[in-house]
Amino acid sequence: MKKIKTLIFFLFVFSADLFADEVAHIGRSPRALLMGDAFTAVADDEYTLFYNPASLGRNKGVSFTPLNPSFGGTNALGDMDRFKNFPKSDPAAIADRILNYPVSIQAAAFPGLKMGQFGFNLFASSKTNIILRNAIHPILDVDYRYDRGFTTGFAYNIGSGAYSSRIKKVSKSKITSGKRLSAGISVKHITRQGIDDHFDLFGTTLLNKINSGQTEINDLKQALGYSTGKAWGVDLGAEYAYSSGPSLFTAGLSVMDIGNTRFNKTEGTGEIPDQEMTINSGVAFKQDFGLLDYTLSFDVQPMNAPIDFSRKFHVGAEFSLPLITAHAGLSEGYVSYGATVRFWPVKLTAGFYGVEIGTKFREQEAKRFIVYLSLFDFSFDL
Amino acid sequence: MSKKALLSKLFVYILSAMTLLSCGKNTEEKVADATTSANILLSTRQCQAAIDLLESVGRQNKNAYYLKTLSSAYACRANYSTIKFFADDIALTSTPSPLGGMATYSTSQATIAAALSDDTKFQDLQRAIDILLYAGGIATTTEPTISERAKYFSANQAGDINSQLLFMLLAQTGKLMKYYADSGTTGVKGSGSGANNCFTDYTTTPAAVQTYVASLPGACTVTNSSHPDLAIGATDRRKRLCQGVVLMNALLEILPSVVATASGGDMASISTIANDIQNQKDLLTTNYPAIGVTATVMSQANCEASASIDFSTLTAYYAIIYEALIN
Repeated sequence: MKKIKTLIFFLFVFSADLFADEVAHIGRSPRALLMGDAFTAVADDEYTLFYNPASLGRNKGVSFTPLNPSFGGTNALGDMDRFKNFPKSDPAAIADRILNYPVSIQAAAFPGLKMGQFGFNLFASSKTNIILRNAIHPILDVDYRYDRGFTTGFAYNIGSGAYSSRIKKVSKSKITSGKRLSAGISVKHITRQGIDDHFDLFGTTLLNKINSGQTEINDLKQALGYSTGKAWGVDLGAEYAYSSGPSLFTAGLSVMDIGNTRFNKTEGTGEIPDQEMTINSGVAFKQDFGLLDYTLSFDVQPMNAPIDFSRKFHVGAEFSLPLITAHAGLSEGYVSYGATVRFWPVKLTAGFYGVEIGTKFREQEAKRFIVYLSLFDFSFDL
Repeated sequence: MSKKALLSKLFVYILSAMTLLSCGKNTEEKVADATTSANILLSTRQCQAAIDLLESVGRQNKNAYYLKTLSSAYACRANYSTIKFFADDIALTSTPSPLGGMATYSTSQATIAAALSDDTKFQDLQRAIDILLYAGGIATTTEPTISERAKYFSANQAGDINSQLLFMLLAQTGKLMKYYADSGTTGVKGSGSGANNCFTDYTTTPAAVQTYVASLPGACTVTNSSHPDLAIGATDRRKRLCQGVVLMNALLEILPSVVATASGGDMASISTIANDIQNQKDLLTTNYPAIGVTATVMSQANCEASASIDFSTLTAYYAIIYEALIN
């Protein structure tokens, strides 16, 4: 016990986190994003292993999500003119168009399998976040990550209550009464291609590319010098659940990427952005009345990040009827909302959310959208 | 101890560790946050707020990102913008030739209420230049050369510092040329509202230099048509003459290295001016071999204090370089 305490102490003291701007994760559930990302104590979908491996503990059956692509980016609905006839070889004109406008493009797939308290996901996720700041001498902040890999985890349960089981006649799960304390662990392997750096728009690196008309994303990636590396990471989690009648209370705690997941470079000269450790806590309350159910959730995460305390609060809610669920939330002071429609074999989730890309609470919002499609997912009890 | 009790104890311990050890930011985090927030402020030209934020964390002389942002903040207060420089000004550089166009930059047209060296916008842009010129913590009495800065930064960082410096040096030198050459809005020397047709007084320079001045095209045909701020006996004359010398020397040192790595598009407008400046420098050393260290000095402190630099060398510099580059 003493050795474990010492190990935990050193993990916190010597994990040098340098969170600045947006908090980056490997995988985020689209449903969670639309619920203010208050998901540590919910984590009951195909993204469980990216929030809290201990949440595998509530699983009794088998669930398989084979095809689940998602696509997201900047919510530019009110700003489409900005990108029409985009200047290609005039840096001053480019600066004029996109100064202080966050641009984001994301695409991912996280197919997964849960079998009892065991879970496994493959993942492939590409995220490019760019913002040009500083009207005096513009600097382009680039955060590009292309992650591929797998994660596998297991939860150990104490207690025989608060498990999910499928209701055979409807595509819903039922929670058994009782209490449960779960501890979970997951291990992941990631291959990352990435850049996370600042570049002068009028500096020699970019200026040549722009002057020659090469402003496509792939050209810029080559010019800026992305690197590739591999890493192993470990996550831990704990979950307490109490269920009685239609109500379920859950409290969760997870430590993702313990000690920071650091990449060993295999290609390139630039630094690969490490995956910083996050310590996440949350509570959730759910009531299921058959045709209608709702969930309220509250997270404080990432607790260990040196960011404004106000940024760590996340609140989420969802209301479900057969076939449709509405999601809403507040994450870092920004509103999120959306809906999920289920009609097997299709599950479609779509909505809008905001993310903090400054350093202080509500300093600068990046408005984004997410569209998620899950095809042929199924589940059954063992 | 039961498993439940063990897990509960671990849970409490982790929570306690998080609470105690996860608060507060270290210096590196504070600087990173301040720099990001300053860049956000500069996106909407909140110049003073950006300056206050960056100065509050203390000067980070080895942090290229911080220094470039701090330089931008002072340049913001000077009403300078690289975007505007590229959009409106850089193409004007050589019209009228050789470098009279620099006096027509938008930044050169600002009204100067007092002497140029006392003008707050000139001082702010000079501050912005000095932050990058002496980046790395270079002492003001050490020549701030490209190779000196390269000791403290990577090749990419040093390259970006030099680019940002170059554009500000062009703007600042243009202001100086417009003011002291009295070039009005046309970039033609002596066409403004002042009485002078030359930068300074050449009556005490060597005869060969005076002969050269008289041979130049343009309005400066006599040796005693000086701007009052650079006239013999003017207050701070040496300081002001030195400002022009160090600006031009720094410009000539940095220009070829930046143009060599990025010469297309708008950069084409300045890709050949290094030749114009170097030609005049070669003439200077040929016609006035005693020019010595004045031809290369880039430190304002050294220029003002050095015994090897005097009014004779300083005015010779202006005669053969500045008077020839703007007609």
